Amino acid sequence: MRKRRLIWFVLGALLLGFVGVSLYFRRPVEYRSDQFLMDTLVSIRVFGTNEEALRKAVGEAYAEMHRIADLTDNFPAEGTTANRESDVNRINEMAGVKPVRVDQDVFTMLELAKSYHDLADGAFDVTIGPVMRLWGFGGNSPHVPRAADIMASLVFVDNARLVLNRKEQTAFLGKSGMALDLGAIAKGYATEKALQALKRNGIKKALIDAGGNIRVLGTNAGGEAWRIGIKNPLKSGDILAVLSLKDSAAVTSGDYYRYFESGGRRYNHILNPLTGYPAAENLSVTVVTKDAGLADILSTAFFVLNAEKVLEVVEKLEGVDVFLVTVDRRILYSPGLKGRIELRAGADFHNDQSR
Amino acid sequence: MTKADKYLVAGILFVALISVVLFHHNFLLSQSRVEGGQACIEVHGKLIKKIDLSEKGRKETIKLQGVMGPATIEIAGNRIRMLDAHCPDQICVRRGWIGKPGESIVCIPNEINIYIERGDMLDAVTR
Amino acid sequence: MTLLHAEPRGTRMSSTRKLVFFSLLVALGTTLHVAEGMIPNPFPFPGVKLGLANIVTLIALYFFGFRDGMAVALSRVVLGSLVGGVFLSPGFLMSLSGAVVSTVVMACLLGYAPCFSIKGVSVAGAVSHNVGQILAAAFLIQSQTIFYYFPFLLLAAIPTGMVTGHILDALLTRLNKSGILQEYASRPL
Repeated sequence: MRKRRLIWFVLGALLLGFVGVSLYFRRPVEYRSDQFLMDTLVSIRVFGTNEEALRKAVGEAYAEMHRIADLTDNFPAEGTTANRESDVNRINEMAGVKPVRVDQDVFTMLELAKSYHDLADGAFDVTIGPVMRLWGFGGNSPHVPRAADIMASLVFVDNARLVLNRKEQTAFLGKSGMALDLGAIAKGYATEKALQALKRNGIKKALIDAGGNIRVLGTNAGGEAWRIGIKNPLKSGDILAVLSLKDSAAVTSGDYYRYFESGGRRYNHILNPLTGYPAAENLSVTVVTKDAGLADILSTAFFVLNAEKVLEVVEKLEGVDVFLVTVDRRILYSPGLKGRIELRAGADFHNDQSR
Repeated sequence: MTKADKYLVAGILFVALISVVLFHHNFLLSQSRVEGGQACIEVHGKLIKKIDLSEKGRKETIKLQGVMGPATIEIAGNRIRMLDAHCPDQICVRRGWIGKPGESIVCIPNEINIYIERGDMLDAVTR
Repeated sequence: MTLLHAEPRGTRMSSTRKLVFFSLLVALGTTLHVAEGMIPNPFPFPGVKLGLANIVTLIALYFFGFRDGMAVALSRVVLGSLVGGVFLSPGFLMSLSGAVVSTVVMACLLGYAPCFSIKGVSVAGAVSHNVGQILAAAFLIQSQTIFYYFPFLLLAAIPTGMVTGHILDALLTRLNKSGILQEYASRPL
């Protein structure tokens, strides 16, 4: 009888021991790492059970982001560090001269950029480089250029003259004086590449915050959707709405992020490629979709368009949703966000949601 | 207790253990979201100060005037407490530290109410 | 077997007696239901009950069988919630779910599993009561997070069940000794 008891006891202890050990090794771990790149602070949080594996995955993710940053860096030497070897710089230098062979990712970005130019009725144009330079965004002293100069620079903004050759993987700016600026797509694209790196390393739950470009993978640690706030463009620290996202990207273009003030007016850095002046339709536009690169492109494009037009375009696009705050303080969002969004807007804003 | 009863209890214990393994690996981390809310200090029903409790290293003392006399509030990282107050029972002082959303310290004579709001609990902000 | 019929195995009680008994049980059950509702609830969802009121359901099952046992259970949940002012609230639905599940479980064990003593049946009842509650909560809150509390509820059910079981055991032994109600018992005392 004693022996029987002993056996049961030992078995029980073994079972407990086994459970304890497996619990220890399967215990959930969070790894978080921040780095400054692409002119902003990038923060990556991943969840898993093996800290070493998490560290490795995040390292690869950052490596990808650095790579894209180096390829697309284009700020001309005005006291700022410019990567002379970047593909974008080389394309710009060879404008009107000859096609330049580029990295696969740069080519993909350019292809995406070209295709969405038409969709947005010209509101999105990566050949905006010369106008950006004219305004001085990216340098130390942005200023309001003379109307005549703006008109003149618009001549060099011509999406059709960006020639891409898929077989040779080359890009060519047809006219001397043209210049690319991938600022509206590079960060989002890099974020997406980073996320794919995490996925390749077996990560199932992650959040990348690249200076406000959010891309989430899976759910949060507790198995629930990630809660992403949408910043109030008029009041710092205030949140207008909360998105519940899984496996999605949320990228916002706003007039409060990079701007300068002159003569009592605010000039933001998102220029309308058709007028050469900063877009003035909206205070902020947030695009929610699966791919962060696409979200980046669309948020910039939609920022330039008026709200009704944006909703029209979004309706035709699959898997894309948008949240807008217009200059006259109206809030609108696409129907696809219903069920994923929780509004918190106060009296300052008028919820124009009629759908 | 019969033999069957004993087996029943053992079985339940076993299931409880298994369910810890099954259900807890997901949630051990979401606890971290619960702390770090905002502490609100109200005197005589009016909100006079809001303090963010999510800065770990923060140490601060706040002196304010309650209905019965002066009071001192201490903040250490993600916790807050009533350090000193001019009230007869000192219940508020004896309450000690609070830090979780929903918790509160009330000093009725002084009409001081310190409570923790539910933090925004946001994972990130797109901007 | 006995529990599927309305009448207990023993002698049929006169309907007046039965009514009195039944009312007493329901009153007791309601009181217990309200009382245990006042115990501070550490969980973030309202209306979680320990399951002490099960004692009343078990007595009813023991003497009257399944139908009446279920009637007592339902009555005490409804009345208890009405008294507590929480009728039709999420807490009410949880209690209802818990009560129904535990009544069914206890009835089955009482009738078909004589290897369990009253204590055992009581524990099983407490456990299934909590399982019923948590299932209702999960359904109401529509989230899986609730299952985080599953092990705690299970563990809490064991002492609750044992306490109720002990009380009942003592009660039944006393009754047995004094011979009262022996003829009505559905199981040999």
